[in-house]
Amino acid sequence: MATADVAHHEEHHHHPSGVMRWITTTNHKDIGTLYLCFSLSMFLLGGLMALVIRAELFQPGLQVVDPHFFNQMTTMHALLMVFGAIMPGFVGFANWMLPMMIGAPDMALPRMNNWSFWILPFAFTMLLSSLFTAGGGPAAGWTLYAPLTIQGGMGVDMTIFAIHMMGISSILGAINIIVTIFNMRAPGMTLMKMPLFVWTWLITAFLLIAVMPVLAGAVTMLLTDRHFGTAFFDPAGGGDPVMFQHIFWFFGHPEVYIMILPAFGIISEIIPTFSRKPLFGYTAMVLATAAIAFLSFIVWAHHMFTVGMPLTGELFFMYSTMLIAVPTGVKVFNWVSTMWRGALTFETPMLFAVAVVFLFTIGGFSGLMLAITPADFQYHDTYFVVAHFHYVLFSGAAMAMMGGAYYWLPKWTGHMYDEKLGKIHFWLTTIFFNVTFFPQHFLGLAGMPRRIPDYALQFTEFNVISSIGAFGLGFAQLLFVYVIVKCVRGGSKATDTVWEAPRGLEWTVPSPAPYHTFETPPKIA
Amino acid sequence: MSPFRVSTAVALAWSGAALSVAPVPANAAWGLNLPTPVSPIGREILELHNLIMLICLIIFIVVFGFMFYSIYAHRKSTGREAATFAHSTKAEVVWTVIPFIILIGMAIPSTATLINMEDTSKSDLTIKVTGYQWKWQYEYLDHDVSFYSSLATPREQIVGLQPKGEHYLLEVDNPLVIPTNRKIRLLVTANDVIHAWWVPKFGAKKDAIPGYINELWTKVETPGTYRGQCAELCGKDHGFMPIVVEAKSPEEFDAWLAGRKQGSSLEHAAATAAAKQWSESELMARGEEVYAHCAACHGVDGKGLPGAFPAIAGSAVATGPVEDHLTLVMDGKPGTAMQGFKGQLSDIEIAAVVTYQRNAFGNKAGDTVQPSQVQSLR
Amino acid sequence: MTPRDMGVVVICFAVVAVTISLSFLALGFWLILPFAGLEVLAVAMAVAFAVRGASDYESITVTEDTVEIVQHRRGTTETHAFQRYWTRVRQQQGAGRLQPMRLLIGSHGRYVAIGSALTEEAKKQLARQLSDAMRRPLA
Repeated sequence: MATADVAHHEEHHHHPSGVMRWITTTNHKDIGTLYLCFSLSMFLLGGLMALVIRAELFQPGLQVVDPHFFNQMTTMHALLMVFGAIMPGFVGFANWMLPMMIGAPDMALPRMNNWSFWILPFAFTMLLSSLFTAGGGPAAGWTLYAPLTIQGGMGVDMTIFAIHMMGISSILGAINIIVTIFNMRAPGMTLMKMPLFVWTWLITAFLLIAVMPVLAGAVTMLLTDRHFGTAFFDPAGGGDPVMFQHIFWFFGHPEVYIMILPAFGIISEIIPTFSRKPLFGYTAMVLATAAIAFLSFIVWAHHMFTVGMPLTGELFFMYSTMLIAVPTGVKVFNWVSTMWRGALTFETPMLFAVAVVFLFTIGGFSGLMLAITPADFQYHDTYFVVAHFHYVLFSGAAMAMMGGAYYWLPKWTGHMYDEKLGKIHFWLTTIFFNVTFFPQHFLGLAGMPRRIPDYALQFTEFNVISSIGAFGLGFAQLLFVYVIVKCVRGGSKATDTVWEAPRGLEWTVPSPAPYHTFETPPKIA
Repeated sequence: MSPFRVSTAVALAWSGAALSVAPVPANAAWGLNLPTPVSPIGREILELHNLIMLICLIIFIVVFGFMFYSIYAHRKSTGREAATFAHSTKAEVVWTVIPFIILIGMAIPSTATLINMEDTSKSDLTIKVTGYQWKWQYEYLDHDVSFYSSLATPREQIVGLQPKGEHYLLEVDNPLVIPTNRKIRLLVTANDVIHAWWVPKFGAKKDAIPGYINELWTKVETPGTYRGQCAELCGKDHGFMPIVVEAKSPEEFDAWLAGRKQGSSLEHAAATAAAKQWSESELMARGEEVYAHCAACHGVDGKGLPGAFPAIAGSAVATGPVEDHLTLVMDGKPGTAMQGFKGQLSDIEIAAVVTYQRNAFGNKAGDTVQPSQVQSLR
Repeated sequence: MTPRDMGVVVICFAVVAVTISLSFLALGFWLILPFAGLEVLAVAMAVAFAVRGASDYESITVTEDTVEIVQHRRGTTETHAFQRYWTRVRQQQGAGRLQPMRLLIGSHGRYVAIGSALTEEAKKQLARQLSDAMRRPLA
């Protein structure tokens, strides 16, 4: 496969230490670490908000928070998880792994890389501080539907500015990734030799660049409707609230794939390693990813079947949405075929990868059900949808990141993580995740709307189970933090390949990966 | 029953209030599927749902049958060597084409149901449904009957001071009444923000959007009371604007409608008769009742919610000129949750509630408003 | 990828972003277009920066008596030669806290800045390598 010349100069390096190192760093590994730590802290904070929600929903009646604060929690939980945990998390993986995977010494634009990270803490400080303004934070849901958003207080304006900053950060990150992949590959690393994680990120970056201006424009028009007398969306002035939904979801649906494609990439790295077999159907996987990305631009209105579209529109979006099942199915079949007749072992990363394939597919099936327009009229805006997107985003995106973290932690830190604790973390996460979210399918079918702080008595039982699961799931993540900290601090020395027979250039450099990798480009056979 | 008792016990520990003992719910708890439909569309949706569920389940079992077999049989600990194959065009084509065919099989019945759902022609009765923050208005367009429908669950039940009733959060003061076995066309819109009108057993859900009029239809076959909720986040009390529909036989419905017409003209008469002078204590007592409409945002204590909903206590409006106060209450304030109440409340109700607001919560405007003043502003 | 390929990439982005925002413009939602424009500009600048940097190079040749610096920047080539014995490598701190450190090479008061595209750590490392190389006797 690949051989590499790696310069071992790192012991002579003297880079700035302390806080200044992290503020001024242009090193892709440092920035990757910053992104991952940021993502983890937002994940925990967003999780805390989810626990406020689940505590209120533990029993019928209002016990813990008032309805207005409850709405702020659901909105903020989503914004933190989408823009604070999942997106920066994958950018963190990209920063660490992309240069190592394509044999580049660093990202193409290291200084821009530094800016794109350091925008984020400011954006989220602004977003979170909106909770403490009069009137509180945004409370109209992460989708910010007009005209409800137009009613909100100053917190909404702060949210809009925060979203602008997050958007700039994402775009800078995406540009950097694209330029790196196109311009920095080692000689011989042709596009069709790139690891699938690189491919999925390339396509994700394309999606980001295509849709981020749409989000920026949409929230800016909300802002002008709120303060400058325009009437883009405000029906009171003759605006069109349904167009806000069209514009938002034109961004929002590709955004969904921005959050899942890199997860597919990580899974496609992990499964071959622990199956001791090359990835099955590499070309098909790349094509399927591209197909999913393309389809993401023509399915957006399936989020809004109930707004009263013409029949032809409803049929078009139903058919196009159903089509997504084809490339997604190809991916699942290829993963299963990769495992087929391999020599499987089940270290923590593999456990996570298998769970992602299994649970994500449940989310895929509920997605297919939601695509069926007549049935969607029943599911829409119920807990069935909540269950669906948590199966996709938690057991898809978030658990893929956990698997990826266990997979590459030894490469990052030079130490093996505690396998036993890792496995415990896996089982706690998987079990409590299902306890939390599986019953929500039933709640939705039985008729419980989403985003309500209180509910009718027939929904009590499954809500109790769901809340118990949520607290278990939340506390299990503290174990994750502990395992990571323990691994960073020490542990048995990891070998350079770490696993038995992993593929990819990142395993040809020492563990921990030196501060500068590939000062001489590796040769790819 | 035992899990229910467990949850109740935990609830007691949780809220620390001895009163939050939940009674046995009337609707089926532990429901695993869509509720039993009572309309043709509801039934079609349920059949479609069951069919797709089944197809998904079969694919699921096949795919993960392979995966779990592999997990079991292809373990490294059995001492096996990994195979080296990594590609098969035949397999890729097969598992691209077969799902495609299955999807076409799903699309055909879905399309049929969808076309049926969207056909609102030849209806027997048209009712306009308007969503407000946070109540519904129903207007029987050809019958000059119109009323508002809001949550009837007392606040004490919600905050746990009273045991929760059988239809907790799913009960209203004025339910929508429809005849059975008639095609009912609903025109759905909203006055302020987006709501969604939904009764699960009808399989009927549509967004209520300000500036738009959406159509849906239903035909209920079994008489009874059916309950649903607003399904689109519409602000603070989104969880507290239920929908209750009473389906009566056509004869009973006609009788109800006739009574209702009479009732509304009686109300009208009462309003005109209100041309009399009301005393302050009468107005204050009536106003306190009507204030329930205002309390959702401005709070029972009139203190509002700083930054989101302004206070009435000590506010410039409630202590300033009475005309401005009346105009605000009657016409609302565009772009905010403050709706105009002149369509919802009678002259005497507006007069009473404005009087109440000006003389309660420590406000001491000292003036009273008479229904005649309200009438002159209409 | 060649600069021409990268140009094609930028044009692809521009076409996609502008098509999307023009469609919304046609519906009256014009505020998306400026953001798309800014973004395309950012993409073009980043790509131009990366491509231009890609053909730049600097070579430092240490022979028995001389140190020769060849700097190729934006199509022009400059050559500087110094006597090896007198050549010194100096690290000059930037004027302010945010100014980058400069790496200078030369002798007798005539110095040339090298490695300006490198990060601070890389400059320090290069300085060490150069000093080593110049001190080491050539066989």
